[in-house]
Amino acid sequence: MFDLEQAIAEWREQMLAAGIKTPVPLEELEIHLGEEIERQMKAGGDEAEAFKIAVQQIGHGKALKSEFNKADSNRMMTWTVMLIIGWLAAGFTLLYGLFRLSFDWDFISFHPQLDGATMLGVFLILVGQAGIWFLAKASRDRASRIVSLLACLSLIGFAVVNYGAMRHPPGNSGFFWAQGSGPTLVSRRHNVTVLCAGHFLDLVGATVCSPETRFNNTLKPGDLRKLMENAADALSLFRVAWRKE
Amino acid sequence: MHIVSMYRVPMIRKELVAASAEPLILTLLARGESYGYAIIQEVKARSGGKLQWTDGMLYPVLHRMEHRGLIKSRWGESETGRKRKYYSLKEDGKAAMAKHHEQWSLVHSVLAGLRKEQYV
Repeated sequence: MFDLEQAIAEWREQMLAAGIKTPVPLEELEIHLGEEIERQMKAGGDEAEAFKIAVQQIGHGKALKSEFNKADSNRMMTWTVMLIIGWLAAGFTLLYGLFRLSFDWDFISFHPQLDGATMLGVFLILVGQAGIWFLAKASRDRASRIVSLLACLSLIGFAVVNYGAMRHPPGNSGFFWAQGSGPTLVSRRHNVTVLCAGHFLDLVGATVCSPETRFNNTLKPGDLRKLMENAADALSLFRVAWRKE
Repeated sequence: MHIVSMYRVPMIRKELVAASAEPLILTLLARGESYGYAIIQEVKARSGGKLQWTDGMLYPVLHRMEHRGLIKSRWGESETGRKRKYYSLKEDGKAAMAKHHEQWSLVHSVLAGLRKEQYV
């Protein structure tokens, strides 16, 4: 006598042996099997026959497993690793920016002990940009894209604020978080260079993370042109600042 | 009564079945959420049984599409209390569907145009 439950349990074992994982996707497949058996029986088949047809329709465990593998393993691994790197880098850069703005805002006046921190800052911005770029490439859903865009915008904002501070007349720091006496310009050239380098990196990031680039997942000639324009922009600002001294 | 077509359409070859899976699923889900078994039955019925998936193969496709952010899923229950995993379209899925429609229309119109010339 045919025992349907026993047969389904055996089918489950075969699927597990083929490497189909439980609960997902095995549970989903089992539900499907159940629905097909029910339909076959409604159409007049007996249990054994319905089960046989349903199992055939679902397909072999090995073949299914290889299809699921294509969907899961490689893609998910790269995706997850990239996403983690991206989020870490973006978060790190954002934290750095906040830290810089609230505690370390001494960019205009050149303090030798800040030099290392400044360089580190530029490096971190670079890391952050790379991270956001990874993130934008890896993320497929809307929410992550919006977050990566926001992270990008915050970096650009950071660069703009840097500019504002740099261009303010000495003696009047202008920004509410810049406390104390006016900045002393020990070496303005140095500061300008570092700021422009940072700004340039921001522009590179903004270009690479532009919505079109992320949508197509490729850099096109148009993007490169935009990048060159941005570079020229940063360079000319740099020249102006340099000449003013 | 049977619908009698002009000539017998053979079973659709597996390459074409594979290529058409994503646009069909997206378009089906655009009408509202659905689950694996219903999607397969609907496609079978609409193609007169000529478009046959190995049933299990639908699920890797669905999972792939979910990972890519085209669709999303939730566990629910049928009227009879049977557990089911329902899939529905996300915004990116709508965009992907529009792209598929455009491409399939293009292929179809090229094919139709060429055929017309052939029979003039």
